[in-house]
Amino acid sequence: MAKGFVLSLDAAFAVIILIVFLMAFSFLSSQAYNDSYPTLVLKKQSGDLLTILEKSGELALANGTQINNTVNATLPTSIAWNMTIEYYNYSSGFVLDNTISIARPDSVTEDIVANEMKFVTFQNNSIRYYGIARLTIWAK
Amino acid sequence: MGKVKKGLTTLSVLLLASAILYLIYSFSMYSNSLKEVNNDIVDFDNTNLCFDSVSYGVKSIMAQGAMNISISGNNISFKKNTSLSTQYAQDILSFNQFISGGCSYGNASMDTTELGRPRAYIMPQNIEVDNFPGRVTFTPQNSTASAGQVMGYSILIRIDAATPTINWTGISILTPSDPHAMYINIGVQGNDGGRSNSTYISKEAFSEVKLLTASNQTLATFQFNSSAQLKAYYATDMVIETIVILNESAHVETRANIINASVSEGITKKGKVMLSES
Repeated sequence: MAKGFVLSLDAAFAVIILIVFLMAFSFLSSQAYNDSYPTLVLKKQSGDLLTILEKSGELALANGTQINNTVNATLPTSIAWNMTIEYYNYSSGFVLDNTISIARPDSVTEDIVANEMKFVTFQNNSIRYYGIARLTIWAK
Repeated sequence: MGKVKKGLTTLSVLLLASAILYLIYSFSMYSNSLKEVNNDIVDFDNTNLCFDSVSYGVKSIMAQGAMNISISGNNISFKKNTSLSTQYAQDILSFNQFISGGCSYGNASMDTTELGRPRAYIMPQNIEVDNFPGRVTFTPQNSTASAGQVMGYSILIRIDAATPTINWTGISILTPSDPHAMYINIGVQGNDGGRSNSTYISKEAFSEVKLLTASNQTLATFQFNSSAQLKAYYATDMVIETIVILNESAHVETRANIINASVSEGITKKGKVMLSES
């Protein structure tokens, strides 16, 4: 009778130890898996901002100071960012004509997101520039 | 008997441990899959941004070089500067080359064959607007069903030459109250003034009007035919604004699936360009 009780107790301990081990393993593995929610929020913010700059025609104006002001006014102050805009001409190939580099710098953290948008600008009803705007943002 | 009992106890413990192990494994997998949803949304976002930027580029190029579309109530205006057709074709090809280098984390392409001869569709009436070199046609695709929605056309022309005369070379006039009648207005502005002409003609019969120079040279021909179709032929550089007058609101879009955007994870978005929304 006592032998059976000890055996059951031993088995119960074994199960408890197994559960604790598995829970610890599961917890640690889940912690190791980066939560991508902050990245998602930054991604949406950067995408929306590029869309705003394109639709408002500011990318076409190629005025670095104005774009800098708009980005600073649009993004929360807790967000640092870096932006490069390249303007290409086309004559039997794409030739770099102008580059704008602006930023609100801060030390880079883990969650950093890069986004890119291609656009065109017009002059006299035809394409003047083929542009690429690259925006990198991260939480301070 | 004792051995059987021990065996059963051991088996029970093993089964219980396996069940708990499986439960925890399932929970862990589910929890991780929830976190992966955010990554999937990021991929969808990349695809959408890629698609939208190409779509907006195509729309802008079409508005500058092919036709500028605007909606005012039930009137849809298609404005075309015929001198820009060559430039438009070049712009579409070079833009396609530009985007084929890929957009953020993905690829994009567009149907240059379709866009080289831009066709727009007035929906939901399903009226095709076809920009062929030297002519623009407006064709209701569902015969009487969509032709019934066309109340008329107003054609406004700006030409950098002496103002031409408006000559009807064939006309099927109806009273405004006739169910098959549609309103036609033609106005032309040249360097020495303007002329205009308005009438009601049959949607189901052939009518033709020409713009003629003083020396009887034809600058443009407008043909109306069954059902409520308009073909505008032009032989010189001019700005033609055609206003389609409908009896209900509409929007304008390109043919389906002229843009294809994808990200490396296999998410693809195919679709048309909304040229104008009501």
